[in-house]
Amino acid sequence: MKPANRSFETSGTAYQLAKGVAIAGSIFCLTICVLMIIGVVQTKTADPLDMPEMIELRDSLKTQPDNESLREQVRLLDTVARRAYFSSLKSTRTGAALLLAGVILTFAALKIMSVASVDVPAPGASPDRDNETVAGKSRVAVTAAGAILVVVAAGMLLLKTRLDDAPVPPSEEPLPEEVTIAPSSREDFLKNWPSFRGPDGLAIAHGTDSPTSWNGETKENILWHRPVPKHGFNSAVAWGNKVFLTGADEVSREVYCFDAGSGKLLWRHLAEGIPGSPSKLPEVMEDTGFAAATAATDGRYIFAIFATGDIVAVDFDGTRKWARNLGVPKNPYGHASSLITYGGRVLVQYDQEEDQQLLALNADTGATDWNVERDVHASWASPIVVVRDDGADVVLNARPIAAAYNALNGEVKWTMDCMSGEVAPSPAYADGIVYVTTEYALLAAIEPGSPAKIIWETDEELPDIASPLAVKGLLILGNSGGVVTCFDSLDGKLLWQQEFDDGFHSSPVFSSGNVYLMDMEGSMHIFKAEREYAPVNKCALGEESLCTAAFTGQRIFIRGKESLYCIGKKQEQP
Amino acid sequence: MLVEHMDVLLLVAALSMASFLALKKRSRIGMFWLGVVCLGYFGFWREGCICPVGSTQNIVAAFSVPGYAVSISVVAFFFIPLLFSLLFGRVFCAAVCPLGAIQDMVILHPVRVPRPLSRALGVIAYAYLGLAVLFVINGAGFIICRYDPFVPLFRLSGTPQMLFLGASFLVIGIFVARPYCRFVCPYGVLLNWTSKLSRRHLTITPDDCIQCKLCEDSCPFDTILAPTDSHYRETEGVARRRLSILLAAVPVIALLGYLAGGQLGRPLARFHPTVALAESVLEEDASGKIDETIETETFRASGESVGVLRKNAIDARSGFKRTGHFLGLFFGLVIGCKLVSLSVRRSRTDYVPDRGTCLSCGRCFAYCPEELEGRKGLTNKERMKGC
Repeated sequence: MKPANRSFETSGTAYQLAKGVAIAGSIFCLTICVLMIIGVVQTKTADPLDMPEMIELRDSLKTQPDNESLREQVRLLDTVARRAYFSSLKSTRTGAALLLAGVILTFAALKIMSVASVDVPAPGASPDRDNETVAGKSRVAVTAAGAILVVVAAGMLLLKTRLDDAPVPPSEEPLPEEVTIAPSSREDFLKNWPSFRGPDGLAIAHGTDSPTSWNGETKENILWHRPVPKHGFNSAVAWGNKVFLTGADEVSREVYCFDAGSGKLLWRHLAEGIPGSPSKLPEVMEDTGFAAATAATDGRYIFAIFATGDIVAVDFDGTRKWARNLGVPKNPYGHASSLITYGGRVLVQYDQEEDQQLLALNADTGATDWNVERDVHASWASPIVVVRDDGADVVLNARPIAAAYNALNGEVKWTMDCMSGEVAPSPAYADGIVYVTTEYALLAAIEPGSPAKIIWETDEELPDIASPLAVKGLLILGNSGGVVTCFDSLDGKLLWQQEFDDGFHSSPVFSSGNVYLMDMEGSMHIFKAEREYAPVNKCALGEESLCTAAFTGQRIFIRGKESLYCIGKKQEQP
Repeated sequence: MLVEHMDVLLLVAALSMASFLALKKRSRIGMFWLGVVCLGYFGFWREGCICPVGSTQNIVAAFSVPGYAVSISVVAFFFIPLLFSLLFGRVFCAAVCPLGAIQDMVILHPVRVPRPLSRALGVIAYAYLGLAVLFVINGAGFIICRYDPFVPLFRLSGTPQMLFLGASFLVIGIFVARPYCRFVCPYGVLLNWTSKLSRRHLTITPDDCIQCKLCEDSCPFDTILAPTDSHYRETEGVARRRLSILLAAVPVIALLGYLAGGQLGRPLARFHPTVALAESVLEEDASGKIDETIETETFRASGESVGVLRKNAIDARSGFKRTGHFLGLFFGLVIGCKLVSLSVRRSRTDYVPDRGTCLSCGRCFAYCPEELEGRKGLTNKERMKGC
């Protein structure tokens, strides 16, 4: 501490020299500081991966993947940008070292100036610092310091915490009981939505009382909607109070579980670390993506498959049960066939350019219980299950055959050589007849048997992606052109045809007497399942959707382009 | 490992040299240059690690975290400065600690902090020590290291916030000498305790104090205590009554601290990484805005269950609530004991350094005429330059 009265030897050479160095050092440090700040700002804003030019080039490359010149431009720009970035980082480090040297030099000079200023002690000039008054003030100050610290900490008590929230908020309406461990009964299976197009893949909802009116803009009957972390064209699967989706991009592939009551994302499971999973991703079309196949559940586990050939089984708490890679599917558009379960097995239609097969994987272990080689071309259709009194068949659709296999052992029950083109619509089944179709080929009604036979066929207004719905003696189809066609399912007679503004990729579903068919703009067209077209309503989601809705109880779960929606009848407020 | 053992040897050598310079040689200049060397080696060369200040946490972890192993070097770094403090006062602070040395270098125009304020600010160090122990016990990390303001400067690398914090301490340190050491350093609390018991401690005068008062303003840390002759005007009865009341109040304050501490455990738990992550994830889920932070994105990418995370967070918070009682108890005792200490009548006839807070830097030497008398052959001016 310097006493009050000081005398300075400020005229000495050492002092003057130190003063000069201190001034020069200060200017030097200030300059370095300014340059470093500029450099840091430039480094922060010039992330080579986020440069507008780079983004533009990458976008162009997506539309012209074979443009070698474009690739070269990307590489060149990337190299230049990265060099600039690392050069900037190096400059920052050099600047820091220079700044340190400057600060040391400046402070050394200031220290010399300080020492050169000789202090002359002034005895008695300071007030007594330890008398009773100071002690008293100190007691007050220490008490106040303690109180302040306690108050600051107590203030933190006011911070909102989510940990005390109920883990799963109560649903607004009673939901079906959750079954997680014991194998599910047929009754459970039918009242849930366990796979693409619901139980058995037949697009018929059982025991539902589905809403027929909602509006995404006004939120009418929109109980909740939540963003889905990663993109995917797969549809929602619902069981009990859980809704499942998958999502994927070039970085990762994931399974999501949402709470059906609140929409809360309960968990997400990363499908990684799977033996055999390819280090290099297969090429897929943008319209397919890496998560086009809808997951399936048996009420105990959720099974998900991705374009990499990775298939994973996860329990309802998000813990992995098993995972394996089936081999990267050689599919020009990317794997899109959804999973379905039957008899404790997951059935996988693995139609590709070679090694085509139907696989039955043990639901508990993932081991292949049986598989059937198929002499077909790559397809994008999904299997359906036809349950009979004495067993069940799994029916597949691909070029050139529609075929049925015993769902318990894979035995071929029948085949029908009738398909051509690129097969994406899945089969339909009702009243003992299987319906298969695809664009530019035909629509065939096949009576199973040995041999199976086509009882009627047509080639008018065939669907390209959406699957047909067979219900109440009707066969209903929608196509990308926006045309919905209804045939008599028994004789193939055209009953009615209706044209809409927007086309259909999602498949029609029958629920509580109505047919629900979502167009690509996200409007659900609801009409009666009758022999004449009888519209009920048109409900806009407010978001594009290419997925097929899931129906359970009084709710509908729809995956939009970005979000998952839960639609239900909102309770009237008293 | 060899380097760490070397560091221990160098620490012992530096402490021995500091003790020699402070107690035997009484050389401020020697202390200054030793500080420069230690700052260069333990600070910029070894980048502030191992550091006795941070090693406090390792020692606590060794006793409280099952399976946590601590190396002999860390143990040595923790205990050796305390041992020297017990023998010779805070010679570690004087010239060996790089955190102290870097602040010492920038003291240019120190101003005196009023003693009541200085004593109030001193409470922060106790709170910091208590918090650091609480965090280690509950697996919430080493906050002393995480928030060390000078290590980023030694490493010329760190977050802008930490670099700014370090620079701020240095700028403040130009006027308020060694603010981190005096008001924040948790290891300083331990050194304070041991130094109070030191066998030998630096003295202002090498001979008898002649009470010339020349040294009373020489300490930039305001640790010189004046004789008590003129202090007390209250009657002894009043002083005794106050002391009795405060002595009786200590257990009450400690009890209040114990009770309040249990409540504080809950908000303090938010600093636990698991609790913080769970809060963020649950908040994102509630708001629908996913992957707002790198931590939540990483968590979600891991595929781990939110339910499990939430359970772990609640368990961690329970630990904080249990041990928070003891933090409150400790803090209550500190406040109570400080109040008692401020009410005890002392008897001093000379100007002496406060053994607990004196950093043994030796700046006061040159202000003592007895010291100057002993340095024959030197002019006053030359001696004064030593301060």
